[in-house]
Amino acid sequence: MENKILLQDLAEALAAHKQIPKREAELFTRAFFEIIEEALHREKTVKVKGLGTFKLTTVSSRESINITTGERFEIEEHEKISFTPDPALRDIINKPFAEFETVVINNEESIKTMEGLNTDIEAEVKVEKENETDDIQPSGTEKNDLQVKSDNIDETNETEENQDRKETSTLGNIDMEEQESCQANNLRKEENKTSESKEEIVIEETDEITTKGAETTTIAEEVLLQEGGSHTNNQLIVVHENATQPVTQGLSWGKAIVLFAVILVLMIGSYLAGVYNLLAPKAIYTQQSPIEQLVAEIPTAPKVNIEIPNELHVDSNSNMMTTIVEEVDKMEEEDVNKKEVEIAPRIEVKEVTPKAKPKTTTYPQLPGGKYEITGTIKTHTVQPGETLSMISRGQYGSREFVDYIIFYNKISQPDLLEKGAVIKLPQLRKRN
Amino acid sequence: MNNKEFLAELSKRLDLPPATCSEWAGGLLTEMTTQLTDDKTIAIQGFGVFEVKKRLERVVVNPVTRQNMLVPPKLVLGFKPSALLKDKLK
Repeated sequence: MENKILLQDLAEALAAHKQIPKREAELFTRAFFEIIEEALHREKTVKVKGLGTFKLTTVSSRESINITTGERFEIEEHEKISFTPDPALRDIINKPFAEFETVVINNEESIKTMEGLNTDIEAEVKVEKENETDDIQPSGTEKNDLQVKSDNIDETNETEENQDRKETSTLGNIDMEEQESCQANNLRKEENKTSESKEEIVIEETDEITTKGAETTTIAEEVLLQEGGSHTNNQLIVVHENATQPVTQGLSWGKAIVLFAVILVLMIGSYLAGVYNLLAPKAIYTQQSPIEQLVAEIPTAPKVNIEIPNELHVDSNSNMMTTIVEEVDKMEEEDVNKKEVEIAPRIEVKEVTPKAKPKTTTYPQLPGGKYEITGTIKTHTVQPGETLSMISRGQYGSREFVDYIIFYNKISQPDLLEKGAVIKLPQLRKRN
Repeated sequence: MNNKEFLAELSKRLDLPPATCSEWAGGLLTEMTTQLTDDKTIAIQGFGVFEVKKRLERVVVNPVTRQNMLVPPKLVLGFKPSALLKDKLK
């Protein structure tokens, strides 16, 4: 028992160290621990400098089961001694490992992958949308119609381009949306002045857009194209220099907020896309006026208030038009913006689809499930040691959604999940 | 009970001047720490065992930010009260 030091050994060492008689040293050491013990009985806490704190804590009574007999019995309330070493002593003890520090791992990577996934989904959505529009209109695409219309109003080519871009990046790019919001705000003011001249346009919102488009040309010239390559599918990232105050102020805070907003809007975008796919087929056969309305509330970030009214209108007479307004308002912006916040505090998507056959995607539903599968949120690669319930809890916050994952991926042996397997996580919506 | 009271009690019981008492106490504690850092356990009859244990590194997740963090391994001093002391407390 070399490793075990007894009280006697301590006393001896102390005697040698301080050059005192062994007997006295032993008496002293004994008294030392006795006093700690007695004080514990009396006062519940004993603090010894250089050693630490002894504390008595009360453990309340609880029920337990005798494992051999299976009987229930109660563990009575009792007291427990806890010992917390003095910080100085703790540091001395931990000296061999002192240079290690807690480090953040994989954090940025995971965020990047998340973003990547989202943009992928967004890209999918876009492709689908474009396909739809192609199918829908035998005479020409929406864009062409827009062009025709714009020609009527003597708009420039650049305007059309702007509109096209607005269309294509409907459900996605926040960077753009934010910039657009700045533009849109400025534009709205101007729009009031100019809108009278454009009375030929029936729908108010459409009117707005076209006007906006016209104004955008002037502004677009002062706009900088930035990091266009970093995003997929011609997504335009515009930095608006005319904006009254810089969007990125205080990089660390601003970045965090913007990143949050980006992720949020991407998610909403993909959600809406899924809904659009479900609604579109029904819409065909019913009417030609606005059919479906979808209203979703956007949770507000601590500082940034995001408004994205998406309005899709199709003029049923002859011109088929789809125009989309996107707005992201910042709380900090001026009063005009605040007014707008009151006016449009929600997302609104109105969709009118002309008589044609858009691509439909229906998803198999879990029999008897409380939730409806409306699409795929993202895919997930199984890490070593991960279980389906862990994945479920990570994505949905509860284990109860394991069944949906199993069903959606047609997993035959949920207990034998292989690492590296790629799982699709379904987008769920509560059934009414 | 804080350190001051503790030392006062010690000197009273042993009939020693407080100065020597605190000096000896300091000596005893440095002795204990050197033994503990030498990877030895200190077992006091009727009181308990002081032992240094190694905690392995582990990955924790911040529930708010979902950040994965690697907590490094460390050495921790633990105290396990003896059965006798536990009995007295009941």
